[in-house]
Amino acid sequence: MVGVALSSSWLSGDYWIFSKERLLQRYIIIRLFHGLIAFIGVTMVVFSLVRLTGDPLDNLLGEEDDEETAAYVSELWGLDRPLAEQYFTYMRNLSQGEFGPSFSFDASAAELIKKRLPNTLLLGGLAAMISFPLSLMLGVVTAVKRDSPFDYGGKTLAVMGQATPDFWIAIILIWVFAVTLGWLPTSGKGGLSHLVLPVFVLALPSAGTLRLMRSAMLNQLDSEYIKLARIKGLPEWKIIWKHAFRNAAIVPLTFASVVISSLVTGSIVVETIFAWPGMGQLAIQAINARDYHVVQALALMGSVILIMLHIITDILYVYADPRIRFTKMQS
Amino acid sequence: MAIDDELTQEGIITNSLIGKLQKFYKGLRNLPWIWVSILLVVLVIPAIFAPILAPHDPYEGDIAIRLAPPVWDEGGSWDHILGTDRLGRDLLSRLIYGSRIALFVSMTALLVSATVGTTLGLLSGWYGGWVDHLIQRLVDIKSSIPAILLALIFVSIFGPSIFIAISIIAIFLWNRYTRLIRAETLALRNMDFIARARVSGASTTRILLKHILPNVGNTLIVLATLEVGTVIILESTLSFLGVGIPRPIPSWGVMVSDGRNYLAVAWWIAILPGAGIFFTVLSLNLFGDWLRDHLDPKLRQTRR
Repeated sequence: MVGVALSSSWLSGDYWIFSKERLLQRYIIIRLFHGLIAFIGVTMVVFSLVRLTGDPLDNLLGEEDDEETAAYVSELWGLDRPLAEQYFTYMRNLSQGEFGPSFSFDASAAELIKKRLPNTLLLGGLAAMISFPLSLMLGVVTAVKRDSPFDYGGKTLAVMGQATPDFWIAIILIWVFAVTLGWLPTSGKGGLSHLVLPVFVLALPSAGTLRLMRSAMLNQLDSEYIKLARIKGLPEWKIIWKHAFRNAAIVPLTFASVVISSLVTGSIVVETIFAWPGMGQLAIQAINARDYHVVQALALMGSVILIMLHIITDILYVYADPRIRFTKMQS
Repeated sequence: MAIDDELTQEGIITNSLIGKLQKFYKGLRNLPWIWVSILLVVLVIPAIFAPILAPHDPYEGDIAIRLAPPVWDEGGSWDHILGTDRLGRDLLSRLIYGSRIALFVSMTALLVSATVGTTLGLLSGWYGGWVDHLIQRLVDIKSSIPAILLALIFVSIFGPSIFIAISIIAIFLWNRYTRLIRAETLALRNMDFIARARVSGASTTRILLKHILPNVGNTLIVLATLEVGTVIILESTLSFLGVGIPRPIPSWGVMVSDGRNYLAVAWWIAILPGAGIFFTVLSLNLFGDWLRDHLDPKLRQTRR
């Protein structure tokens, strides 16, 4: 049914007959449809890749277990069925919100994730909440104070930040603040002091937003309506924060998806280094134990986040910039 | 000349300290030779001449002198200039051989991902229709799977090896080429010279390879240069997590990971290899920026 929206008249360029709103609506529907295709593709890829990692029974059953037990367990989990049938059973359960049981823990995959999710969200959420507003603010300030030493310092830091691997920064911070100075703990979960280093490392990559915000802000400050506002005699803070900022902030907002997806990958690195009991750790455990359902659930959660972000970004782009709107909708 | 013009135009040439700093900064950005020479010193020369330059064997260590500090630290000796690691292996030698791994892995991964990505981009842009749809959906699927998770699964299937590390990196990065090359091909497809080539009887393969590919060449080179840094960081991150280059091969990422638990007694093991990554990627990125400004104005950011 959604496929109808994809029909040839849309693709061949007869879209002139639609109003802008209809155009945007159709664009959103098509993007959602593409997202669905991508999701189904991801389930297939992950489903088959996970099964290539090996037989989960090898890890679960010891020497003393005979073939009867093995046959019983594989029947219990449906592992003896043909692959296609397993996939359809899995998808049917998935459509009812069931991720399946974990093979190595006495819990469902959903329960395991539910237990780890708050920890990962705590790190990621804090990192996003601190870094995003901060880099927007700094972007505005460096644009307003353009070519000041402050601006050059910011630029230099941004260039250097892009060249630094986050695991190395994490190690340096541990070396300086935990090992040498002893101010902060090296790893683990605990009080507030356990949060400082991981959150800082996770927040670093989003410094790229600073550069984006700066150039967007410079574009706005150059424009006619800002000149008009100046002639009108508006106070400078009002021009910057009320007029220019609002229009410039759209650009880094569309960049937010890149930042959040780097948080998703970054959290695996950070959780490994700081021994943080989150989803990244769970992923490594589950893959090693060939815990199919847990790995699949984690991968699907990650990809749903990524797909949603892509769609939201694309729509924001189209919404924000009519020129992109035109070319994007054509293709 | 170009620098001066830019500066006068912006009216910021002053004799103040800030003005001089600005001029110095802009001068740096316009002087690729600094970055090229850092690259040569840190990456290329050690990689090529590793057996001559390395004072010791990177794999053989003497357990009696394990965790020896670098020469400037108390107790360091000129025999092991940058100290030794937990197995008594000479750190400098391992760093030098590490640059070989970094260069080899990044170049191969880059070549594979650029070839695959460019081919798909050309096909997607040239044929359009269902070919385009299929390739775009592939790009969608690729960019919807969390990358590191995919790497973990891959390594658990095939076990860690240099070949798998290269494949993983190539799988991570091909879609960027596809997106860019597709857009360029779309723009070129309807140009007059392509129509004329077709009229004169050139086959599709010939048009793609002889007419379109050379015209996207600059974009390709610039993108590839800018990607080398990403590739090196990715490789070292994977190696650090234990899913990239396997031990005992001296990859910089593995070395940082080796030194993790010795920070209190031997900081140099973890910190120095990271510095190698940092300087390599920094100079690569700045050189890439310069190349972009000179080869491909279309990609130029609004930098003011």
